[in-house]
Amino acid sequence: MTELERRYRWLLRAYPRAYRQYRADEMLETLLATADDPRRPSLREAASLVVGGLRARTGVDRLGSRSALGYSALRLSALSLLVYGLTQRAGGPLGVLVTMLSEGPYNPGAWWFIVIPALLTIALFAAAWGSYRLAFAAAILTVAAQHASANGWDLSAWFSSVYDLQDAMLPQFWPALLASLALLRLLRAPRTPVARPWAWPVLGALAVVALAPSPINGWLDAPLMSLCAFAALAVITAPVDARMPIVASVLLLAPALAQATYLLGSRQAGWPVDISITAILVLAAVMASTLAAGTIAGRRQARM
Amino acid sequence: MREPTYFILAALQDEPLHGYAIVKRAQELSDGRVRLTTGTLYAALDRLTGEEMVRVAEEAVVNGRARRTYELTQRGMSALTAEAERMAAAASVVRNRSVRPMAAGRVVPA
Repeated sequence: MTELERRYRWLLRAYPRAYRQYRADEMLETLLATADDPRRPSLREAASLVVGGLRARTGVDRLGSRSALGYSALRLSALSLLVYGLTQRAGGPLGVLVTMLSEGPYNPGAWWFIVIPALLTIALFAAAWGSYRLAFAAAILTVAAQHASANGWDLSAWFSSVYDLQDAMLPQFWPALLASLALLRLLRAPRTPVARPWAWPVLGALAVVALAPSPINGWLDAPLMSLCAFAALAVITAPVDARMPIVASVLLLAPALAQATYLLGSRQAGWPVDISITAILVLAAVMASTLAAGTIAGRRQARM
Repeated sequence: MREPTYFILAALQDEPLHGYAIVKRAQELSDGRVRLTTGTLYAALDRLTGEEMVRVAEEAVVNGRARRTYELTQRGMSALTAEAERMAAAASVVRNRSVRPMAAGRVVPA
């Protein structure tokens, strides 16, 4: 085996094993025949193999049409929103547990802090397995539970004043609502077999451990920083998978809508608005760049 | 249809070819403009095979390695012809433009 062949074989490891078993020999022959430099692969060829391999791993290559890419992005958005929502709400059960251990029985009204994450978990599992009806029902119940926890069960008071918007001013209100809208659209989407359904609950659990305020991470509260980091990563990976920046844009809608509601509510109620215009501009710029990257990469990947 | 896809289909219109031959033929047909990388070529072949525009004509073992030869299907030929006609129609808008005399400039009185 020559040095060039050994290097090409190493680069071909970017492709999934099953794909390599089918294609590697054939690709290797073409690579060796087209090589300009007999010692090492060109940068262009190496980049093409890495991007091609990663795209084969994500499965975006197999989506085929623009609508299939759109539905896949919608499914990923719904699942990501549910994971994000769970990270925002997972501090609740931990808080209840810590308080119960230190101060005895907890305030019964605080059971919302357990009900809401439980409903989000059901929605996440159901969506991961492709049961969109159950996932949609659980997401809608989450929205209702969030509103009830903020406003109580007196339905007449729910939409009577601007103060009812108080729960919508928090970013943790929006993931369940946005996910339910995405799931509503998915109810009418053509059914496709769901690959690796366990991946999303596992990802959710990891995200909760890493991001949810808890004694493990010192009760850190930096969800927006995490979203911006994800958005930056999504823009970089757009040439590999156009769905990533689309998902990032949808996730960023949660804090954006919360800030918009806060501004609207504060203006109507006559409250002083203590929000930095720079923060709004940064959020808008990040959203615009992710959306642009998603649109450009999506058009390119959907074209044959 | 993207240019690399167009020239991959065009390369296969005369005879079935294997990967390296497709790269070379596409480069010849495009006057050296389309230089397919192996990653791009096989991603396109996977997609075109999935769309039933291209199929494997022959599988052989050469120098101990599998070598597949690809050929155009009827569907692939139709898509290629349709794309060529679309581009020809677009080109005719410029090529067949009747030469109109430039409007005489108005003489502005001094």
